[in-house]
Amino acid sequence: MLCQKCQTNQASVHMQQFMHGQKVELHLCQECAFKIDNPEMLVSLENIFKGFLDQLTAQHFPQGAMPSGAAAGATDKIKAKRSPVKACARCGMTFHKFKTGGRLGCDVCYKSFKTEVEVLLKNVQGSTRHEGKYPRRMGAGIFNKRQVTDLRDKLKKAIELEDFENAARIRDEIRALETANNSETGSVMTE
Amino acid sequence: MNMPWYQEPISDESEILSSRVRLARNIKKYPFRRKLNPTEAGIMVAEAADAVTMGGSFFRRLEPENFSKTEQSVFIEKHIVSPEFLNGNLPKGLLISDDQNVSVMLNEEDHVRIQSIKPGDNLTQAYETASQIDDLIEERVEFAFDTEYGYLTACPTNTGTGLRASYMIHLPCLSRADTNLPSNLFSNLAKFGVAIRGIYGEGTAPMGSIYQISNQNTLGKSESDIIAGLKTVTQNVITQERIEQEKMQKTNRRHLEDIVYRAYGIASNCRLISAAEAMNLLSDIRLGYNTGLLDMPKTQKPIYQIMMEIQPAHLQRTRGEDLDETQRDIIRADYLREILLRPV
Repeated sequence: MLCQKCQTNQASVHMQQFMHGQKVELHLCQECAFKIDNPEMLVSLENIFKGFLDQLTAQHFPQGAMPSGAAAGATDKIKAKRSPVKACARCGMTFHKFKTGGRLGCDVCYKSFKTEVEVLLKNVQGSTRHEGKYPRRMGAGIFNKRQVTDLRDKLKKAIELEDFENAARIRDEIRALETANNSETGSVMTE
Repeated sequence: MNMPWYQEPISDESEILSSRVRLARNIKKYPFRRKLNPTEAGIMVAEAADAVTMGGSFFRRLEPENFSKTEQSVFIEKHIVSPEFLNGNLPKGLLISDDQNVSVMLNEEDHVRIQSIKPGDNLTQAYETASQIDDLIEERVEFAFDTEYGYLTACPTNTGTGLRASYMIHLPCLSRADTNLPSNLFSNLAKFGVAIRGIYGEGTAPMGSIYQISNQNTLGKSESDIIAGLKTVTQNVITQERIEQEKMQKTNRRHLEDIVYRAYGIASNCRLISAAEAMNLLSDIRLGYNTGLLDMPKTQKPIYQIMMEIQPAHLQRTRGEDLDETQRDIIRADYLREILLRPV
């Protein structure tokens, strides 16, 4: 068997890795194996993403009955029918390029492809909500901002449930927090 | 001056050889690497490098573009840089502490990649160091951050904390007891959000029985929860290793003795040896010392350091630039004999 990386030497090192619930196998020559710090890069996240993103494409562009097991071919057809091309307003990254390369083009891509990114994060990360460190320069306002995000979710649910009394209360809470937030951190936090 | 992590004797004390933390950050005003043109990349690297060094920190700035092939491979073997980082044509920067335990890669997959390595089980300290460097840089540049998603990275698998924490662990008995170890144990670990990676040599014997175990998810948990989770899972794996070790000592002590003495015998007498074989012998010798089964003078250097020094590029650097594989195998064998037979 030839080395998967250089394609010239015989593969003598065989690596196995489990990530995101998938088994990844690598067959490399000794030379290349020593150079690998991060096999994630080598197998490319394409494989890991592809499943999720194909699902997503299918959800977005349902084409009637799609035979199971033919997802890849089917999505290609769907892609061909797609118009207009969805691109990031800041960097011009397209959804198709992101899907094949697995990398986003800039911070605004997270907003430009919000739906796709959220599906991906839910599947790959199991969450869409940051719970960790935040930049010091954001100051205390960030706590309010997080609360506002939570409250907005609650507000949406309350409205869906036609619980308008509760919705009004939540709306007032959001307003109070936003006022406090603006006076503390100026306009840094605007989205 | 502190020593590099792999030279610290503590790396020999338990199954945990080293603890490593990586933080991924991007500077808000620039697009991510894929959309960054060379001019912007140059400016970004200069700006970020200034932000690291102006905080009065102890970093040296290296020019990865001017590294010789050997130097490149040495940094890769030490896991200080990734091959992808060195291969790319865009401007890049590398800042490194004198003891090499802390480094910052500029314009890798993300604009800023902070890495901190400590010997033995010191993940929290490694994180604290990386986090301090993060604060230092952030005083001068604004990172791409979203209140909902956290730190924004080029790949969504790093979004949130941008934290990849990992242990290098030595599992000689588990590897020996179960040749299907990864499939059986490691696929279970995935359920706990942990990825484990082993390197396999010819056949089924794991190379040096060394594994890297790291957190899979970077979002939805705080840094300390991620570290605590990884610690717990790793401790469980180590418990399994020790159970296996005890079992082997009880039921098959003579066999285990044979393994460690045989490894010592070959390593201290060979005249030609590949890196993969040397890794496996050193692994068994380490097991011999740690279990007390190998009654031979302990090497002065930690085994982990020896494992590092027998890697191809390391040999190349210490012994001259152009060595072919056979020459390396000879030098490696000479080095092992010297270090094992003249320990003091």
